[in-house]
Amino acid sequence: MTEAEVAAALGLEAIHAGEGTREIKGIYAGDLLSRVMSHAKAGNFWVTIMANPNVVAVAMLVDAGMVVLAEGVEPEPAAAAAAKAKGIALYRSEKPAAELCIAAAAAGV
Amino acid sequence: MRFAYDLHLHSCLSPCADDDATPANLAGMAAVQELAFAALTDHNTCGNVRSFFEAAKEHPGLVPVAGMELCTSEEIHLVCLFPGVEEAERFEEGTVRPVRVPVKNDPARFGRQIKMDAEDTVLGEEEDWLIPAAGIDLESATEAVRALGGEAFPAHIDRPSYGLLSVLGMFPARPRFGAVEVAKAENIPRLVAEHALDPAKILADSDAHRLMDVNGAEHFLDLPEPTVPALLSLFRSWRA
Repeated sequence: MTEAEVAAALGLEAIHAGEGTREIKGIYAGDLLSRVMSHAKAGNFWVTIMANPNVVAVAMLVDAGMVVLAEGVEPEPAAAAAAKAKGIALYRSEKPAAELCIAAAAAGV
Repeated sequence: MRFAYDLHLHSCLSPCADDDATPANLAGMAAVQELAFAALTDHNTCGNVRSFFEAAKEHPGLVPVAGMELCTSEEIHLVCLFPGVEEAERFEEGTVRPVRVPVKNDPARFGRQIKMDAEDTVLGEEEDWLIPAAGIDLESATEAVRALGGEAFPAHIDRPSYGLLSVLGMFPARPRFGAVEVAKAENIPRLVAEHALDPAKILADSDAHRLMDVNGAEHFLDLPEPTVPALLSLFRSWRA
């Protein structure tokens, strides 16, 4: 599934949408960025509740496919700005992380 | 001149600390250890700082420092040091108390949160549970401390939990820190290599939750005089 298809299927709100055409492959959930850095994989659908701008830095580092802030978390303004500046696909949702992961898996990610 | 320090101590007001780590006992232990500086940094509160200062008057060589170990919304522990008791209390009342998670402490499960005077008389117990993250992010908290003339540094960045590096993976662009703290001095070379840190700006504090864990005179800071303004001014110069 592409970023745009996943976003539409899960009803995600874009903070900064990427090009939308990238294939999203695999699901990763985690908030401790030191763990994410060493465990998430390229192209992943990454769900987190961390709102700090370092989320964007880590998404770049692991080449995440898209990042979703779960549970109604709002990004810190600097995080939203960084996503735009660095071209990272950053979304948010009111749904909890587990629900988002289950929905993403059901959608075929 | 070089002055011994331990800038991260918990009293009986922290639920996870021993009940005999009273403000008076901590001041006494710091003096016995021949520390020049000792900071009281309970979790999310400065409630025993005033008594700690009162108790420190009994020990002429000891400079007490008013502090708090704040748990930020990212779940990063931040050591906050203030010019004096008033600023510390203002930080708690104005910045931290309003954003504490509204959960009451359960002393049987988590430990008592005892407020004491300088003579070990129990004044009461803090009802808010002091351990959960407060609703203020790392950058806002650091700015609030600096606005009161204080200085903040990330606590135990070498630990797998509640440390800036475990939570954020790397130093964020903001806020910029001068000082950082490690729990174990032997981790300093690794951190210096991995994060391009200046070893001269890494503090080694005890994070003592028991009297016996207060540092001896093992770690020193070079200062013109043993005063809190000189200490804070050094940390400010480190981030300039």
